[in-house]
Amino acid sequence: MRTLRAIINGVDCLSEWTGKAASWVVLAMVLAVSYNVFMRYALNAPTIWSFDLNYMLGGSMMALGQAFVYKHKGHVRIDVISMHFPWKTKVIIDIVFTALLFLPVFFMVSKVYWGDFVHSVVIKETMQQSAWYPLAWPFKLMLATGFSFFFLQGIANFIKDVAQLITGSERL
Amino acid sequence: MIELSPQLVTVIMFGSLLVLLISGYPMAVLLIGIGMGVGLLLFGSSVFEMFRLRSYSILASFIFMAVPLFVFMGTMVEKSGVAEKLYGTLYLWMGGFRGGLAVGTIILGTILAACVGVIAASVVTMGLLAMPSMLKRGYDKSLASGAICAGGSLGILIPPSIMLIIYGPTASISVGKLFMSAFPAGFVLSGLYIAYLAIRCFIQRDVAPPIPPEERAVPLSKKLIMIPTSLLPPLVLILAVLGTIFFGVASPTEAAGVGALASILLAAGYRRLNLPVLKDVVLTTMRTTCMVVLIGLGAVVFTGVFALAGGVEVVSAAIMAAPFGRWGSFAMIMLIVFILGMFIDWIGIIFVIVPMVTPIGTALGFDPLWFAMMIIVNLQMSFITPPFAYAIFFLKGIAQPEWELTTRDIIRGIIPYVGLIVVGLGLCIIFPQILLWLPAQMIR
Repeated sequence: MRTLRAIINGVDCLSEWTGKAASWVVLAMVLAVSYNVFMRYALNAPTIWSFDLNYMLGGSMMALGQAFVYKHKGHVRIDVISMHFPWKTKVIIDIVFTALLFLPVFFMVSKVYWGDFVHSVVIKETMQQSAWYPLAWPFKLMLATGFSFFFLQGIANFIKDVAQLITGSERL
Repeated sequence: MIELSPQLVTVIMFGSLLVLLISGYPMAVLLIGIGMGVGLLLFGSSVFEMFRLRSYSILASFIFMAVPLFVFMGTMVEKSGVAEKLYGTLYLWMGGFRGGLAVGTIILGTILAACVGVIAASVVTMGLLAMPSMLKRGYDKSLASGAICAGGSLGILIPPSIMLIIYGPTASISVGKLFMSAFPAGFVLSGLYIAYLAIRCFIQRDVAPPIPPEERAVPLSKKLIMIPTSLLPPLVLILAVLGTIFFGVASPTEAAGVGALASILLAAGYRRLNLPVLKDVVLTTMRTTCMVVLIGLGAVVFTGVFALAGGVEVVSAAIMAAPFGRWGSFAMIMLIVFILGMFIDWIGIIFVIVPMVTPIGTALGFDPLWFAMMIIVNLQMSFITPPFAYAIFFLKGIAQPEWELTTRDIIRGIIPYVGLIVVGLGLCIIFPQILLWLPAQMIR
């Protein structure tokens, strides 16, 4: 029981901190885009890196934030009917769907994204969307990490739900 | 791997989606799960690589990055206090007329809509501002909540709008053109709402009484100075963002970045900018963005598998077979979007349905931009049609106990607007120039 609690706390903490850290990325995007627009129109000297940097930052945030959002149950649920279910039914639904859909799906998603990361490192892949040609692996590392943390949060939520079902209370 | 007829795949995928959605499990995970499950059965493990390629094209897309930037801008505008100033002005100038506060709410919604790209920001802001003052003046609860929900929902139609940013790449239409087309569409709806409120309050004397003169006794000079001080800052923001897109100076993503920076300056100007606010805004931005993008990732594998299995042909054959020629097919598409809008999230509708119906619209000989805008205006109804209606959820979420506001009150107030949006759609069919004139003037 103690190990489980430690795992859950560890994962919750990880999701909380990566999420909060990743949320500041949007500010960096704002500044990077504005800087480039200023350089292009005021000084006629556009930056070469702005285009790639923008989607790399944004894409990283979109992947790294998933675990945080899942921890806080922020994903859209069509719950007009299910909100009237008794709490036990809701918990059982979550347990079953997490075990049958979420965990296998995001295990495979993490796996293919890690595979792609390794591939990028090996062939020294560069991004081909602009004239900057930055290395691709740092961005792919962020994506793979984000999906892996999302998967871990899925495990943590699963354990929490099972514990809630057994003990009948939210606390573990 | 097994062989299934496209008809059977269509029934299995959409049937299981609709059934499983009832469970209340996150829609995005259901989309990915069904997509991958069916894909694994039909095409084997190549479905995982397909997911990676298709999801990567969203995560590494420059245009899609306008979503977080516009969400940031909208959330910052919400915190900046612009809306309070605007409503204060509208209150004094319009409160004296019967129904003036309700009409003022729609005007506020229209102006805010041009600053924000999501409806959460506008419905919540307007609900907190306008609802207490309308109730205090004895406005009918349904009338007041209807105006807030409908006016607030304009937030996602009038650009900047994250709906248009998602729609553009999904249907291969320029986001800039969608922006310019959505502007007049939003004004048409806003005008219809105002006309409805004015006429209704003129006929029914007691639903929206005027504010007594002594409660708005402010010197004219002060009332006059309020107009520029409250209106100018948001107007500058709107022009900075939309002007750059219209004149071809910047892409939507760049305009969003500049707008986001401007919103920070705006909040600083109103002395509302501090670290807690900034923390709150970046976190809200990330939550909204992650929520939207995961549905997108789910939908690309769902629609990808569906298309590979031949399901798109099944759906388009069914729609093409509708009676009364191409307008019959068009009506059928609009009806499908309307019904789906009652039950599921608009993000899912765009990501799943738009890739399917867009080629049908083109095959039927409709202008792609006009066709896209008709679906977008139609989706305005999805925010206010129960049971799944974001505007109702948001207003209910902020309702204070002393308002004694029930969901039934809100729904009663909102139904007339569904009719008004249908009238708006009719106008766009009779006068397609409403949607097509402004984009044609754009400087490329």
